[in-house]
Amino acid sequence: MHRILTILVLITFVVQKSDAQTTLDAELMDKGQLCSALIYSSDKWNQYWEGQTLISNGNIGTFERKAYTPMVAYGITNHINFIAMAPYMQTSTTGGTVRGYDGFQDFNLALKSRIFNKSLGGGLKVALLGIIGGSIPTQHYNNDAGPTSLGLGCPEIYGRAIVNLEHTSGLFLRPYASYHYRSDAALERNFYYTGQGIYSDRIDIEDNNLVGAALGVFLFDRLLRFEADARYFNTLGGTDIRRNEMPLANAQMDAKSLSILARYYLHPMPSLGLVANYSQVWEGRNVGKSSTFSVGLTYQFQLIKNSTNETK
Amino acid sequence: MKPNNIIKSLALFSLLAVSFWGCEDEYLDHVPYSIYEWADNDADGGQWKPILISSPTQFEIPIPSPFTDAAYQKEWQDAATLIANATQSDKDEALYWGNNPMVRWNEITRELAAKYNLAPAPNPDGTYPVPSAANPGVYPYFPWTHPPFASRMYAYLSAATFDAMIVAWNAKYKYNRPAAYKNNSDIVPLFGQTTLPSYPSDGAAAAACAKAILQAMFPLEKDFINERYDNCLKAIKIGGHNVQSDIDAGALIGQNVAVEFINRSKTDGMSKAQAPKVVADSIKNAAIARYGWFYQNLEVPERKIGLNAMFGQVKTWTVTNLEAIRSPIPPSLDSERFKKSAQDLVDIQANLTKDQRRIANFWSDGTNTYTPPGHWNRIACDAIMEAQMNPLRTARTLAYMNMAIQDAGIACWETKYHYHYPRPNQKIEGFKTLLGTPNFPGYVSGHSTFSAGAAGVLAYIFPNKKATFEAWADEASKSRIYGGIHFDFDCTEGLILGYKVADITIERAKADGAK
Repeated sequence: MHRILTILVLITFVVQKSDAQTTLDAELMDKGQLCSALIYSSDKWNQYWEGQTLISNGNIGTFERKAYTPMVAYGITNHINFIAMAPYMQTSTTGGTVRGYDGFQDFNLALKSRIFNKSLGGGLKVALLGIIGGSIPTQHYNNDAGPTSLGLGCPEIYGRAIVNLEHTSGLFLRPYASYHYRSDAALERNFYYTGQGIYSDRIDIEDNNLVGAALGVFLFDRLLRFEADARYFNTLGGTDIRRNEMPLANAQMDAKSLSILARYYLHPMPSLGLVANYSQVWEGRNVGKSSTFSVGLTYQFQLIKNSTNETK
Repeated sequence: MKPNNIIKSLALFSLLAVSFWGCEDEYLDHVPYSIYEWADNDADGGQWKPILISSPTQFEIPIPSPFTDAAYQKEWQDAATLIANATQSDKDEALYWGNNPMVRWNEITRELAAKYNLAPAPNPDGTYPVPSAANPGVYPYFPWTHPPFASRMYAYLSAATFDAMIVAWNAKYKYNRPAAYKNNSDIVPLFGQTTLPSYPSDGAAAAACAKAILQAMFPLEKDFINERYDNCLKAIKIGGHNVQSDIDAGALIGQNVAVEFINRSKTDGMSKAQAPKVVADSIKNAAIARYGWFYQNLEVPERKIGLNAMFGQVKTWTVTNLEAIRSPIPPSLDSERFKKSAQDLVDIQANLTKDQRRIANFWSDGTNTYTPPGHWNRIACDAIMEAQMNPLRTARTLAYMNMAIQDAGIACWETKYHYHYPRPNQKIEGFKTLLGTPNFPGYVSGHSTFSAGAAGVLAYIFPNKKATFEAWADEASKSRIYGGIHFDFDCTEGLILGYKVADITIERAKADGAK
């Protein structure tokens, strides 16, 4: 059986955070396997929630965030994978005369581990996976330019649990939940207003959580994976954008989104793979009503011969 | 891998991640200052020349009761009881206000500026609503504290407080009532020792003055300001220098002086500063006829009326002839000088360094902030506290600086709407900029003029920091070039204009009797 890996970068809304599908799915590579990938994504919106009011803004027009994300993942053991990536982003707006930005955003690392995997009978099996990950800005980018900022400029550590229920028919259901501890971020000014005037050049970025569930199926001897995913990104505090106000990095960004994903391996190991994803935010707060499309190419191969005799 | 090793590698990764974690600072809603002893009492301060009121003795206050008066002795007991019963939170609040609460009122004013500094959003039909003093609670809320409005607000607050301090000082040295704790050993002063006469209370005079001015400027903030006022007066009592009659007399001075300034504000022309379209258009057409160019707003939808086209007609504090200091004619749009400036801007945006970006962001002071005049008030308060100025000196510093800032703003706006000169985004095809382009003509730069007005006066008052203030004004000025929203000559000429206003203001300050 092929241990396979899919990758997808989901860059959604003003949240400005990238995430890899590998840190949301239930799949692991075997020991010694390396997967490299390059993902392109385009995230667009022409309406956003100012606080909880959906508006359009002629000085933004259509906002677009493109990301090119190189990524590597490696099987440390059959049960533990290491994942690293750093998206290169470009932001732009069609309206107004304010510029966008380009550059590398945050460097992301994660360790993904299968904690248990057992059969429930009736062709059903259940697995529990845990992920610990984090990110730090690769550079001191501008995080005070509203939606065109490359990112929030804060380091983050998160823990995530993924439960995977799978039937021998290939059908699967995969709920997941994570908590993200976020540090504060540096600003290039020493006063800002959040309901009170704050005399600091640092801004507190509230923690967030992410919950979601994917329903899907493996087909063609697991070479194709197809799934639909609903998720809720929720920031635990922060400020609302006031009417006609430039958002701060600590805006309370919430988003409910739906996405569909297809991943296909052209042939077994060493395998070249394709992934594609489309996602849509349908409800949010202080975020864009974002439509994100992404495609990626992955290449997976045995880097180091797996000579150990570990049980899988 | 064994489970042990798994745990070890996870732990190691966590440790690495934590090592990148920034320190979680405190996010203070005020600048931390400590109680301090005045560098000097300025015992002659009651003879200094006030800004607006006719004389330091214009307002009578009751003659203070003698020591033997039972009512006065009762005030000592009340003060002693209040201090003895003060909770830690009462004391923290008192230490926050400190023995020079004027800087806190300045800070509160900055916070209100930030709260109200939002440009109106467009109506569904593409027009823009205007804040209305008659209906302050209807969106867009009144006031809109854009930089011209803010400069005026800080000037009124500071000039009025200065006059109130002169009146208070005059009475202090007339009556020479010792500080409360010196009369009764049961009163343990939280604010340390002082040799300043206590009657009337300077802190209460500053608070009452600020309360009246701010409530006149911010009709929606009456409750907030009342609450801050009550807290301030309680803090003064816990400080142990003043009892109730000191505070009442101080408050009376503050209220009376504020009325004079509020009356001035009613007829200073500010209510006409936001011109109607027909007037704004005639101003623009006059510039087109004279020079052939014009400023145009490029927002979507277009703001068809520039901000405060008539602010240049608002009554000045010190400058008497605006035309005499108006900046010279800017380069014509087909000149080599203009082409070079435009090309420089394109090059700067294309190769913007992190330092240039930092400078642009640091001095931006845009919507949702205390504005450039507020930034300079913060700088001034820091310098005042460092120099351990007494409240009278504090008021004088803030008064002359803020009058210079507002006069600089008026002179700047007079120049802006006289020339109606275009912005870079109008004249450079497809030009996208780091900062948003404000809704008024570019020449000369407001940031530059405000900053030079402030820096010039501060350099006079704090000569040992002259180079620092001037370097900051220079940086604030350049920040607009890095932001892509001003040509270099907008900024250099703005600095020149601001320093001219500062010099005129300094001449007045030199003649006010303060050493």
